[in-house]
Amino acid sequence: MFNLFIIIFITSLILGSLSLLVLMLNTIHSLLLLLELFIIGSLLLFFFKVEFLGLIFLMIYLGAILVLFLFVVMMLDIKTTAVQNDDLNQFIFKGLGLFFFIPVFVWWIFGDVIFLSAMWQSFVQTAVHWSFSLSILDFFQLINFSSNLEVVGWYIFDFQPILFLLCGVILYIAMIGAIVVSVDSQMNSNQKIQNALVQGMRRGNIISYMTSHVDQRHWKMIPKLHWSPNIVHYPKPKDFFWTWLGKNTF
Amino acid sequence: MYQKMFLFICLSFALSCVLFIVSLLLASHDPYYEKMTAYECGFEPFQDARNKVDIRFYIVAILFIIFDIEVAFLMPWLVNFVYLGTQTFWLMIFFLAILALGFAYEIVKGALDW
Amino acid sequence: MFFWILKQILYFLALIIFVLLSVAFYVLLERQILGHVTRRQGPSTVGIFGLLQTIADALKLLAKESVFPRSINTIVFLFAPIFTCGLALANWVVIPFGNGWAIADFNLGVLYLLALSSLSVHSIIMAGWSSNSKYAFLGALRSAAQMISYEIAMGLILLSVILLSQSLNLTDIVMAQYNVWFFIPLFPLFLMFLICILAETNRHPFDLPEAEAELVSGYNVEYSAVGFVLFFLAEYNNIIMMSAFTAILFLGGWNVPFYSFWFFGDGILRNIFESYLWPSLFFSIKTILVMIFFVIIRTALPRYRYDQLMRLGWKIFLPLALAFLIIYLSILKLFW
Repeated sequence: MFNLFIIIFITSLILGSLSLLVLMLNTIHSLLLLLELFIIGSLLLFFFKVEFLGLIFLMIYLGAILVLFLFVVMMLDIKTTAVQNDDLNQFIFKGLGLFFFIPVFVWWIFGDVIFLSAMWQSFVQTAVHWSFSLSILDFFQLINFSSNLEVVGWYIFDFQPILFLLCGVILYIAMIGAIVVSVDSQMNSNQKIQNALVQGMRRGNIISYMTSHVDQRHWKMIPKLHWSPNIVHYPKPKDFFWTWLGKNTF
Repeated sequence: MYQKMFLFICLSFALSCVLFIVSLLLASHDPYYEKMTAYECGFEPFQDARNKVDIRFYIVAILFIIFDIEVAFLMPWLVNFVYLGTQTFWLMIFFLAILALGFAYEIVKGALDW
Repeated sequence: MFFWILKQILYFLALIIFVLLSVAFYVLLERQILGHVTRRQGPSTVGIFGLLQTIADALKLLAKESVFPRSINTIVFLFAPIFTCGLALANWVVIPFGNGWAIADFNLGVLYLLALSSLSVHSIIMAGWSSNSKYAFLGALRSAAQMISYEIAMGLILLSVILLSQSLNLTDIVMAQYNVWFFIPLFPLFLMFLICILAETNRHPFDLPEAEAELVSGYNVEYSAVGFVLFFLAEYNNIIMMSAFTAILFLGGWNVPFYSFWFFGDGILRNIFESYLWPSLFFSIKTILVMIFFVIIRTALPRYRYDQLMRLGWKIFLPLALAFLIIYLSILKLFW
């Protein structure tokens, strides 16, 4: 009963800060609320004894994704002083969104809690066993008599290797996508490129001698349409060899 | 044990709050217009300081997410290294190879040149 | 329940008071070494040999007026130093000082420390953004990107340690080094880890966020008095914590070198020496050695350029750490 009370308390905290987050007009303030929300979420996970997932939650959602959000918000160049005329409209829209979203969220969290409470547990267990071979329910039960890391490792690598590989492919696509979106279109290709290896060397060193005639910007010189073709001199293979040694591997 | 940790973390935040509040209460306050300007080299700041951020910071953040997830995947695998079989070993090597391929692409494209 | 909470508060105070004292004396040590390297005297006036210098400084700073500029974002501005200092102090909960001498012997200690250090990026961005000063903003951005990139390298280096010790528990990691300390089999990773913690704590030669010549003091320009104290405390606290962490991961924690040499007698005397005196003494000696390494690097090396810093983190440490991990994995797999 006490546990149920704590879970209800934490989820209502989450709901409260969630509605504040949506209604907040300053983006940075809502990001701070998101931070608080994630910390409370990881507390909830700790409470369910999945401390590994809780810490991963902290590390990835807070340490990485929220930092990315912060950078994005800074890139958008939002001023705190700027007051918009349609604040009220925005507020009403957000309020309506919340009004429809909160019941779904309540059902999502409390539904589980209610079903997992003693009265429903056995019923749900059998139902879940019939429908899925291994469910979230089994996962949480396994946690009770085995170490957290072992269960996670067993679950991912022995039970769901295909999903794990798919995850790797998705990460790969994300990596490539980020580069394709940003580097080709956004980065200034005329920027001066630093070659720390050659710069840090004394004169007379063999590598700095070998690379002295190579234009270090060859990697950047991907021929583009608006460049006149006689400016672009394509690198020869031997240039690539020394450029590789000098710049990209070290 | 979690209660201990929770209490410790709460106490450490409380201690820093107490330090802050005590100092605010004890110290004198005499603000005036000139004192309360943001630091700039001897003149009033021209405009709002928050400028647009270079795209590279964004790329670094995205790559950080990806490698963080990789570390998160590797941790349970390494702890269970003894119990998981050879098949799983090659599975992980394949996973790492995919990511290494992406990383090589990144370096060749010059996404990490500053 | 009440007595339990009281006991925990006492534990907390007993730990944190010594942490704060060691911060004070570490600052003194740093100033003395910096002084003597540049042929000056260092602090020598307050107290005997200047022993009370830092405490006097801290009292002075706490009694000063806090200035809040007009253009700041007040809530975030006030929240940032408290968050930083709280996070830095919260690190100590999982650090074991001896066999079973931790506040909480947490199963995922390494992951906990990683998570906290990734959280501390937020407080820096908050401080820099809310100050609404150009120096602070640039410093915060640099610092955030730097900490992010070196955290990846640090995480990948930690993976090799986890592989050898087969646990994320810090006590287990020390116990796994009973025969051989990890800096011998993992020597290249040990060197990389030392450099990573320099960058992670924003210290020389990677102190780009507070490069005095360009950005006056980085993300904490606008902070005066107690805000500055909290940032300063957090930074030095992080240094000491990272030193202890290095000692635990690579230098064998409280394990004693040349085991049989240090023990004599039997009965209660031997018991005291074996389980209390030598372990804590050797753990603190190792921690202090790493702390002195921080200072000596600061005196000896010039500052890096930012592109060099990013190149070192992403193009050298990341692939090298991954490569070493795969090498150790393959060796273990071959000879299992």
